[in-house]
Amino acid sequence: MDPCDKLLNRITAKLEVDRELQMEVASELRCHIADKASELRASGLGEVEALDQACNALGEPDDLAEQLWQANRIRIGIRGTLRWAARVALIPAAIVVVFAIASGMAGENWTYGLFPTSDFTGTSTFKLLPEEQRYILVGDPGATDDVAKAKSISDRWPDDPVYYGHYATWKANSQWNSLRRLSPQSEEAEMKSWLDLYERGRQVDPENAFYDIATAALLAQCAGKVSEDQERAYVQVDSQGREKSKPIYRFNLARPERFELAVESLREGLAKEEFSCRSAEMLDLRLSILPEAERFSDFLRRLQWRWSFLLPGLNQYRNLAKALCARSVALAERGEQDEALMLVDQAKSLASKIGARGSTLIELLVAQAIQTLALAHERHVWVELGMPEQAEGALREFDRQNEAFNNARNAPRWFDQEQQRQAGLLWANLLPHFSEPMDFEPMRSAEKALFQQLGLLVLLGFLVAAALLNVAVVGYDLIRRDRRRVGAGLLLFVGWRRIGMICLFAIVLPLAAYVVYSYGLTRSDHQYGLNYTAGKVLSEVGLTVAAVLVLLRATGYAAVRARAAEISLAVPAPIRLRNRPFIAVLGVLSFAPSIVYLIGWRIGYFRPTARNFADVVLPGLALSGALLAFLLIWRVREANALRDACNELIRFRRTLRRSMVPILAAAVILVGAVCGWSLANMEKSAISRVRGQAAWDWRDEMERSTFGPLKERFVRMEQARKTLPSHVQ
Amino acid sequence: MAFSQDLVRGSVIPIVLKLLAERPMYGYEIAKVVNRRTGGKLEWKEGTLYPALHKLEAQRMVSSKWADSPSATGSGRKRKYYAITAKGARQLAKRSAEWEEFTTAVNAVLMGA
Repeated sequence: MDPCDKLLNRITAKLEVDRELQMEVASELRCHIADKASELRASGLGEVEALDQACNALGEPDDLAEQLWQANRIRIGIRGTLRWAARVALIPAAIVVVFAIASGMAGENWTYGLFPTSDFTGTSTFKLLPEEQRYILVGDPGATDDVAKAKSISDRWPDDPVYYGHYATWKANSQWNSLRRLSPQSEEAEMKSWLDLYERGRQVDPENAFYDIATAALLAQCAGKVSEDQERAYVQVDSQGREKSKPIYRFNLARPERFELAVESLREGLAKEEFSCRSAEMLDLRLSILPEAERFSDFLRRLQWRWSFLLPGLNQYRNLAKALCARSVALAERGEQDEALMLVDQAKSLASKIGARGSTLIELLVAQAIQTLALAHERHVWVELGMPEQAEGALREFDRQNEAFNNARNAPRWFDQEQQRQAGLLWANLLPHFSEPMDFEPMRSAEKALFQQLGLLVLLGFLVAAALLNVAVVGYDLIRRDRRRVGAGLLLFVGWRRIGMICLFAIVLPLAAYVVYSYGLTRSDHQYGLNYTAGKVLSEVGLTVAAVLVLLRATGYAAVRARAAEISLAVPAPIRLRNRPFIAVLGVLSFAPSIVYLIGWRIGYFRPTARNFADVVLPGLALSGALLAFLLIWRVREANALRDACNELIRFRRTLRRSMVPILAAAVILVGAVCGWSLANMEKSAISRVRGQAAWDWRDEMERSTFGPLKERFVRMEQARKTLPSHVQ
Repeated sequence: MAFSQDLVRGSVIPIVLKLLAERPMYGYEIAKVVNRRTGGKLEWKEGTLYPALHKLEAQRMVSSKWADSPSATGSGRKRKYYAITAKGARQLAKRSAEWEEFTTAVNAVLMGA
């Protein structure tokens, strides 16, 4: 150590608690001594003498050390506090920001959870509800499964038809395998629990046909076996004009008494006005207890709930219809005309009951299937009875109704290709049969806001991962410090001006470019959904994320390097692209295609012409993948370059890693807070506009669709049926 | 004639502020300008200058910036340049007025009798 360094060590010894400041003051004084010595040498003094005089001119070292300590001690205290806060608080705060955005997207606070049956009892929303409402939502907390929960609700309010219907439906759905196994060979005892379940339903909800028809279906299932008749079939033309062969069914009746009871129960059910499994009412009640959906995920889960609740036992009705039709043909073969016609009429009545009372497309389709099944079998009944004119009439009616159904399927739709582009991902998949115009803007905006949040999460995830990696390496370096005798890296404060430059160049400018392109230059594309613009949105988000990551790293590195040079730390030569030809070329090859693609999109090229993955999504996915690959290669090469640096630069390398941690964490907090808050509000605002539209409900779908006329036809048939004599109702 | 240390110490801050009000300077440059203008009569220990500059910086009366020195004088060395802030300028005006009143009052006693 030369005399000058010894003197500077003595002068700055009291500043050791702040190594960065100590090195900065030493650097400043060293510069002063060098200037002074240089001047003295110019006046004729020798090298050693000039340096001695320059050192002496500073004054008494201990006095100067004390004065420097007094002048800087307040600043040292403040810097120490800030440094401590940066070390302790920034990374956890950054992680909190990322989790806040992710949990906001997942909407955990306001929903039933990811799956309809998942546990949501831990959410704050649930805990704030009155006990009675909590019970309606989840039943007895001690109940072990969904059926037991549903039963506990019904047991608490035993006379409520909605709670009982909910329980009976859950039981039938959950224990479907047990129900399906029942057969003509089953003993009465095996059927008893199910028959008791439906009988109790009849008492609680006497005007509802649901329990009568469910009983009929169960008894018919246990009365005989339905199979396809290998010799007889009928032809049905589908909506594409193709002829399809469908089977006539046979019914191997093993327990006639059960079938008689089934027919009787069905007759009682068809005479009743009401026909509901009550699950929809239960769902409405539960949803009315919870707050309205705020986030896209909330909305999606409510849709999922509605969907999952509205498909109870439709397959049982089809099986019942098959049994009735097959039995009617068998009776006709024996010449029992009245009985045969009565059964086939009951099948048609079942169809009109489901079609007229049902409200979902799936119910309508089941009603239509039962109706065509009944008409096809009716023709064979008339044939077996030796009445060709009536058989011909039944065939004409079959063809007429089938044609009406195909016309409904092929009816011109409001939902053309242009609408499909505008619909967004969700509506484009759910609405193809809809005839009624609706405003796609809110859901489209919500989807885009969600997608942008996903991009934001990817960016923040990379930044947090980089910060945590640096923390891990710094920790490892600290362990190795004594062994290598190189010294720990410093946590440098690069200065507010440099932080401002980092914010400007690495964050504000890329985000501003994104906003200008997405919300300015291609503003008109906001009228289209992600199902059309996914490639473009993926590319612009990917490009922005990559640009922020590259620029943040580059400006952060430059800032730390400049600061390290100021305090006389040995630093590597500045990064020049001409010294890194491989990375420069790779960077151009990775970024240029995305830029060209986005410019091309703006001009009109590169827009998808077909609605498929390759046209819509693949370009954006490929371009973003190329950018990601570049980022990985670039980071690995940079890390290797630093690792291979000579020993003098090890301390700079450690300082760089340590100092980049707060820069990365602060960037996460800044970008996450500003962009996350904005995008979450965009999403909430869009979802509130969705709520403002006509409330979306699966039960409206039939009226909204091109199948509306079919529903009206079933309603007319149901009304006409009531005018018939009671034995055929 | 050597001035008393009390007088010298009390004059450091207004002099530094005054010089920085003219243009940004680094420590050694300030010392040289003072020496030149006072004909070497103010014999500062050059190290004294730095605690004063740091104190002024902590009080936000001056700001600092590391920059490359002009190639003609500095052989490419990085130096810490200080510049006066708005707060420093206000403090300088106040100190100058105080100094003027003080010297007038002292002169009135020492010379006017």
